[in-house]
Order: sequence, then structure tokens, then C-alpha cells
Amino acid sequence: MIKPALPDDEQGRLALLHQLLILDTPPEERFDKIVAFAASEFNVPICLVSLVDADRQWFKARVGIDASETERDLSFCAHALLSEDILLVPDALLDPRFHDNPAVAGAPHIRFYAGAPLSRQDGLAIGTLCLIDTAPRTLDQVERAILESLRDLVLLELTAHRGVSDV
Amino acid sequence: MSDTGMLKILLVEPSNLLRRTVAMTVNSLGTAGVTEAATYTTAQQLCESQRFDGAVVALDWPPANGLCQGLSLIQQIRSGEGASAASIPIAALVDSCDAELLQILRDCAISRILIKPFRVRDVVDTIDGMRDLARLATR
Repeated sequence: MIKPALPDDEQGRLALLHQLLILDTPPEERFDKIVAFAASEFNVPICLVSLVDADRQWFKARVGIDASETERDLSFCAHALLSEDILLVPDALLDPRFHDNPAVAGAPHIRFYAGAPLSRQDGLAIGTLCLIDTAPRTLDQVERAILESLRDLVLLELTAHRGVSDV
Repeated sequence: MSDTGMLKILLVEPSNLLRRTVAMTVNSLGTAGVTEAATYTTAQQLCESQRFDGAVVALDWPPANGLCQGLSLIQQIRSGEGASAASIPIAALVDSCDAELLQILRDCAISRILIKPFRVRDVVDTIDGMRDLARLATR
């Protein structure tokens, strides 16, 4: 397993995340609806709005998983923060970053992962909207565009009424 | 159709999540430009003022109080009352489809019927598939 590197501006990224005042808040229908919609659209058992904090990833909305947070070092989403594009892992067992990750070797037995970074225009990413499946698969161009659209809707909700601009 | 060849599509769908996701996806793919209407009133106003190459209309069937506003909108387009060509391709989004509705939709020359549960992908592909019919309609 390869631990995720820290983004270039980790302090700025964390400051933006904390400015949103959303960590450890109760579930909200506006996010729950999006993950339920995405899970149905892509026919995946797990879909998350994952926010990557200093040492953990915390789930603002989740389908198909009971845990509300996991360690950052084990997080697929922490890897997804490092790119502007969707992180696509067609088969985690074949990927050196993840093949021996506990979430691959054991429950929930992740094989497929697609994470769209929740990024501001300046590149600061606070988390992902991600899809997880227990079987290998991939996304074509249209499916990627759909995931990006749903990601953009999550971003709009995250910044609504918060006074956080430029997202 | 615009000078760039991009289809101009009217999407009438009350569900914000479905409507917004379809519109944002199609617009980002660049295959068409989607104008959104969350209500039939807005859609009718848009039809009067703008020329569309195709339309995707959610139908409130069976109608709650005897009037199916979605069908009224489609019939308005087909009668040539709006700014668009009367023969533009129109797809219908429905919760269910009985024999009566099917006959009405056939009479309205609906090009595609999507019955729930359908995916965003199905609507995106339907819009993409309107290109040839739209060319014929706008000649």
C-alpha cells in the first residue's frame, strides 16, 4: 500500500475545509439525495461525500457504509485530492497504491473506485464525491461527465450560504 | 440549430437533481445546449420566445386534475404555436405508461418514451440521438 502524499498547499486546503464549518455536522438531505441519486445512476453499492481532514476522511453523506470516518492514510479519497481529474481505479487489486489496503483485502472489499475531487478553481481540494464497487469496472466519457456534474452540485451545496467564493 | 451545429434542447423536468445533472452533463460534453425549465409555465414562455431543435418533457400522467400540462405543452409545439418547428423531435419522461397515454404520445409523434426508473445516461443518450431528426425538422 502506498500512503497518499500531502497536496502542495495542505494548510490552505485544511483552512478552506474548516472555514466551511461542516465537519462533524449531522446528515443533511441535500447531500443525502445526491449520493443516493449517484449510487442509483451508477448502480454501485457505496457512494460517499468524503471530506479529507488532517488525519481522517469524514463522510458528510454516505450510502452503503456504516462508518462515519476512516484513517486518512487508508483513504482512496486522499489520493484523489492530488489531481484535478477524476481518480479512476478500475481494479484496486491490480493497483500498487491499493492492492493491500485493508478496505480492499477485507470489508467492504473495494475493487472499483472513482473519486471526483471537490476542488476550488485555484486547485484546493477538500474531498471527493466517490463511487465504490466490489467488482472491477470503469467509466466511459459520458459517465465521467455525469459524475463531474454531480460533483459540481455537491460543491454548490457545500458553498451555499457560506460566503466561500471562487468554487 | 446554431451556427456551430450544436443542438438547442428544451428540458422540462420538475426534479431539480435530475434536470440539473442532465443539463450540466450535456452542456459539458458539448453535444447540445440545454435550456432548463422546472415548470410548465416557464417552458411555455420559453417555447414562445426561443427556437429549439428538440425537447425532453416530463409528463404528469395520470393528470392530477384532468389537465396534463406536459401534454398541453407538446401539443402546443406540434401545432406550431411556438417559435420552434412543429416537427422537432420530442422525448417524453413518464412515471408509467398505459395504453391511453401510449396512443396519445403516438399521435403526437413522440420520438422516444423513457419510463422511470431511467438513468441520467438514458436522457443524455436520447438528446444525443435527436441530431438527425432535428436536422430534418429544421429544414
